[in-house]
Amino acid sequence: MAIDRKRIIDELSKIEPIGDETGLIHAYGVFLQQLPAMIWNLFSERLTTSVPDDLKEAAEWLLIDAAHECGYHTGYGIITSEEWMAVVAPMIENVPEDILHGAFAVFSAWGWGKAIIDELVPGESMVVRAYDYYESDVTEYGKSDKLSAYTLAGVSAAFMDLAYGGDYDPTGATGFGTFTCRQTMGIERGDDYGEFVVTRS
Amino acid sequence: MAEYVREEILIEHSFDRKSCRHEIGGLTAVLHCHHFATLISRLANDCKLADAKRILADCAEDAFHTVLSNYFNRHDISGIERRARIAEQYFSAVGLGLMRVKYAGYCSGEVIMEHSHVDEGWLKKWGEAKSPVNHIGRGYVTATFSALFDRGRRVYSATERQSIARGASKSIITVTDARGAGEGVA
Repeated sequence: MAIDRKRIIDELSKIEPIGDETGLIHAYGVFLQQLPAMIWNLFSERLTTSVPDDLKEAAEWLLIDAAHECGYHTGYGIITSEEWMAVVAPMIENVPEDILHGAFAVFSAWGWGKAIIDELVPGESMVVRAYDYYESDVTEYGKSDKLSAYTLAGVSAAFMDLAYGGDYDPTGATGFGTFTCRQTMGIERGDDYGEFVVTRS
Repeated sequence: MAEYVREEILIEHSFDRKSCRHEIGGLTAVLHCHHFATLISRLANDCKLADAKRILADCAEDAFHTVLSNYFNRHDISGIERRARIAEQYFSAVGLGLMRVKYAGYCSGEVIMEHSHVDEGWLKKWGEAKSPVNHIGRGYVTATFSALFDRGRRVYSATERQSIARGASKSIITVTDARGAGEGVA
């Protein structure tokens, strides 16, 4: 594999988090923002803990689904962006596997978590390990019974959609949702790392 | 540590290569794009399980109240006008858009947004919205007013009178004292 994770993270983490004269940050073909992670964690936790127990799974699904859809479109924006072409594209030898590895390096550079592919069965399944992911900050002491990395789960599934789900479809009607992800371990639950298992839907 | 100065505000940004964490002003920060912000906003609008619009606005208020209050304390920023300028500049610096505090009083105020990450992201993604979508922006506005006047959270209420996402040229958010609806959170 020719992907140099360290170099990608070094290069792409240098993006200046500053809006232009309109207060918007244009990069990777999208509008970016760099907000306190606290906002997203508070929202996930308050939403999932504010509903009755029998609706908790539904609330969690809404968060994973939003991240899945985001990851599909954002992921495509990333791998077709000028930033990707300049830094990551020259390293790619094996398609789409190197693209997947590169995408997780960008994921890390954005501050979502130090996520690496632990196992990959091309076209079939993937296991992702994540360290220091911001969603684990929901537990600051002790161990929670609940796994909380909804964004990581959704985005991991989306990256497999992009790699093996067929051509990108901006409407999401095809290609999107061909994979699903289940979080099986979490720092927030006392594990050493988060683990995310992606399989065909 | 990189320091970016935008007008008066100093953005103290760092990236830890070991943990891959970004920090701004000592708080973990994360890059997300308009897809994420608008999908979470749509989730809040459509959610039937809970009052997710209020939850999202409250979360934004809590986070930005921490950010702005910390900033004012660390940099010894006093005076309503100076604090308002800092709040406007922070809003732009982190990519939320262009916000101007038209006026601010202890019990009321008005904020104009000529650009909005959430609204313009929504337009780019889905076209015009049928109802307001910038719950994060409303939370930012109530956090700003609480920080301006050294008041607690849930003291102010913000209402979008018009919004870019619904086709207006700018968003207008009015602020009222919501103490009648609750005592606020210190």
